[in-house]
Amino acid sequence: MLEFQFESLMAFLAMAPHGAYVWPVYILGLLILGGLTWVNLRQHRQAIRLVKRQLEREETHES
Amino acid sequence: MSWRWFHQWGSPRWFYERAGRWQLVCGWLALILLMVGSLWGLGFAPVDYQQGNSYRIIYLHVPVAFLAQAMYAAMAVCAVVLFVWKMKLADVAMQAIAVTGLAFTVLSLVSGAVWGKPTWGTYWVWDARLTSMLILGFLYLGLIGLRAAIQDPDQAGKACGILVLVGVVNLPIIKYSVEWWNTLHQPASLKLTEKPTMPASMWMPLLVNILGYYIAAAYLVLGSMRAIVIGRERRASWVKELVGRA
Repeated sequence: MLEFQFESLMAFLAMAPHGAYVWPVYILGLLILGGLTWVNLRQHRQAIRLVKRQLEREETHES
Repeated sequence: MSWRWFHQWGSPRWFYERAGRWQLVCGWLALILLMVGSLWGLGFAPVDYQQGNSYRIIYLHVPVAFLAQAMYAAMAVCAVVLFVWKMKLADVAMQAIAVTGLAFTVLSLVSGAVWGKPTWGTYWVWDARLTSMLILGFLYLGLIGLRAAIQDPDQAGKACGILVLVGVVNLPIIKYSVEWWNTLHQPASLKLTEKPTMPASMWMPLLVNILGYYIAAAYLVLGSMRAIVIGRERRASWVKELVGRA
């Protein structure tokens, strides 16, 4: 039922005559999804670091 | 009827503790669906007899364009919940969705423009569909800017909620733009109420990718919400306990 539509892997990568349009779009999609994941992780780590610093300050203040 | 399922959303702690697990499930599920749907669409779906291989952009363009609008609608629901029930988490969700929604809108505009070049002979035309999507992008940008400009989070939430609700008027304009005005943009290929205008071998991978992108959006919004919750609740004892334990 499922049939590969290209003669070879090279033909798939070339995706003639529209490879220059199709592939950049998918690469951009990958970059945006990956980028957002990275931004979220970084924001989460930064927020936790901020709380840690705050806790350390509180501890030194108490002692 | 018990309203507990709804009331527990009022607790950022309840949300934070569970969202990590939900995020993990969504992340893996999205990854698998997007890999299957994209490979299927790019390599195994038949070539279009008019557009050739350029039509394969549909497997990214349609899902992200759907999501750009669906996420705005989700923000509007959050705004209503914020105003009616004063639920803090609704504001957190609005903040998280704004950034993710802008990213999807940009992706939809760029992928549409690139698809337009081989199909229409131009990257851009100022027609109703494209222009109303561009306005959606500006609405998202405006929301992010407005929030950044107001220091008090409660005030910022209220201001953003109002802007979100005003901007909802743009959603039906986007949806019906291809019917109300003359446009280069084709009408919807998939409708809930009608048979698809393409064969199953073409729309099945599209359906997989639509599901995949929806779940990916949930993954991204949950991740962003968790970070925002920790930032906003940094003085709460449960956050200190959580970080102290780590």
